[in-house]
Amino acid sequence: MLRAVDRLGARVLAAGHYAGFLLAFVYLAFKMLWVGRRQGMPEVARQTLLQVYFTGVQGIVPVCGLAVVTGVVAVAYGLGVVQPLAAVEGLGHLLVFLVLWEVGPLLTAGVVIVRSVTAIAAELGVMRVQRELEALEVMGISPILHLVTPRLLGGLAALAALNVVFTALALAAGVATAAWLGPVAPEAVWLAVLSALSPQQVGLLAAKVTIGGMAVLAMACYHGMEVEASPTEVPVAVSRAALRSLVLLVIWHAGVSLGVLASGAAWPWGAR
Amino acid sequence: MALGGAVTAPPAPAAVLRLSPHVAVAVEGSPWEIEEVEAYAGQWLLFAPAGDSGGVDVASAVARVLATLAAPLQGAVEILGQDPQRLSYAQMQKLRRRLGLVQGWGGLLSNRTLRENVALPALVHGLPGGGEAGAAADRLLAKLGLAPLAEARPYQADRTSAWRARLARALMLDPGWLVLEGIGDWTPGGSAAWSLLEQSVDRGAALAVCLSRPAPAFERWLRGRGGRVVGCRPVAAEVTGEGEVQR
Repeated sequence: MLRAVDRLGARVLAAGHYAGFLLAFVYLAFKMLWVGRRQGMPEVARQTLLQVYFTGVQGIVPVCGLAVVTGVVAVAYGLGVVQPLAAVEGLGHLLVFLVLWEVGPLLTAGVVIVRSVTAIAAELGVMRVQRELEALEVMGISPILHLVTPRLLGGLAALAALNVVFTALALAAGVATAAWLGPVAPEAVWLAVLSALSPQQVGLLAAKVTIGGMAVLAMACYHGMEVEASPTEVPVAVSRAALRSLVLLVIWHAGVSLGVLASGAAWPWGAR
Repeated sequence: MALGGAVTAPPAPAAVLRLSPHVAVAVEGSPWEIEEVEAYAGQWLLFAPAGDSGGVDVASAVARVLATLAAPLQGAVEILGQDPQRLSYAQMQKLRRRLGLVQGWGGLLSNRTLRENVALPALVHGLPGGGEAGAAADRLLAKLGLAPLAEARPYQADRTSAWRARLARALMLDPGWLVLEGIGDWTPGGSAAWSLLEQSVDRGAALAVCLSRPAPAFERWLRGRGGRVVGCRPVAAEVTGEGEVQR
């Protein structure tokens, strides 16, 4: 029994250390924007835009596909179950809750994990093995500023944009499905969606997406840079980054949702 | 001439490199000591095992310490008048702008062309005398016969061309302290790469070549230029987990 408590305590401490390292890593990445402001900022901006392209532009097709499927399924389900019970307001709430609040951010971040977290961890790991990070260091060029900061900023901007695209497309697909399948007027669904949204919800959603996205991108960079000298460490770093970021993302999203539900703030189904 | 005035001796030239006695570096887990040495502008140095290296990569370990990438296990290393161990990160970056390391392998950024690789230090820090980074990179690449490969990625360049590109990048900011980890392009009798190195030393840089197994021809050539061979030898001691040497 005592040993189990010891083991649990050790794991909790290790998780705390890990979270501390990640926080310090993110802090350093943003601090370097100021400290290294005279160290080739156009290059940093170029790398940031490249990351927006890799994460956002190249990831838009799977996100669009997932958005359409989610919107159609949510409304089909809503018309079958919710609408007879709670009329069109219930459908609006369901769309906001499912698409905007839960499934959208989770699926979008999932696409980013599959596409970018793995790619970033692998790229940085290979750079470490190929002594490219060492070359940057010896040139007096900060690898944090020139590799990590652009990936965090660009990845985060792309993730936010993908969330907006996902939400817009899923809602549009949902409204179109409602018009096609049921007796519900599209305008009524739009109005129901808009009335189910509050500025407080949008703020909370932005925080949820931003903090979760920052965490997964930081994990990608951290595990990539953790590689030391052997090429065999790269696949380990990639799988560790992907798995840990997925677990953290689900825990974070579930924690925020449960916290919001428990506090009653921005209750997605309307006032309790 | 002012007779009777105080006569002051000209200031002694500052050492580019100063290694205290018993500087030790970790070579694959074992400590190796480097001879005490002071090097000045315009000087050539060869760091090599004083006997058989036993197949271990002494050159990399020594080059990393000489290029501020690793700390010595013991002893003090002073580069361009500064002890890297006592510098803040910002001060270290300033120091690193004044030195160049030509890595023995790897090191070229694989997502950039050779031209972009060579131009990178100047793009970030600016050229010492001003000017456009890309044009300066083109000039260096042309001098090294790499103009046809300027738009190639590192994986498309052979080993010698990649070494020359690393050399061009190291020379981009006209460093005062140059460290070569191994030799990728050694042609007794001269080559474009070695002419550039000689010019750099003639302009006042000090240059260290780190080799695990130096060729006798190279040693002769170096001594012919007034260069010095600095010996490294293994120490009968252990490196503790904290990176200290226990004799």
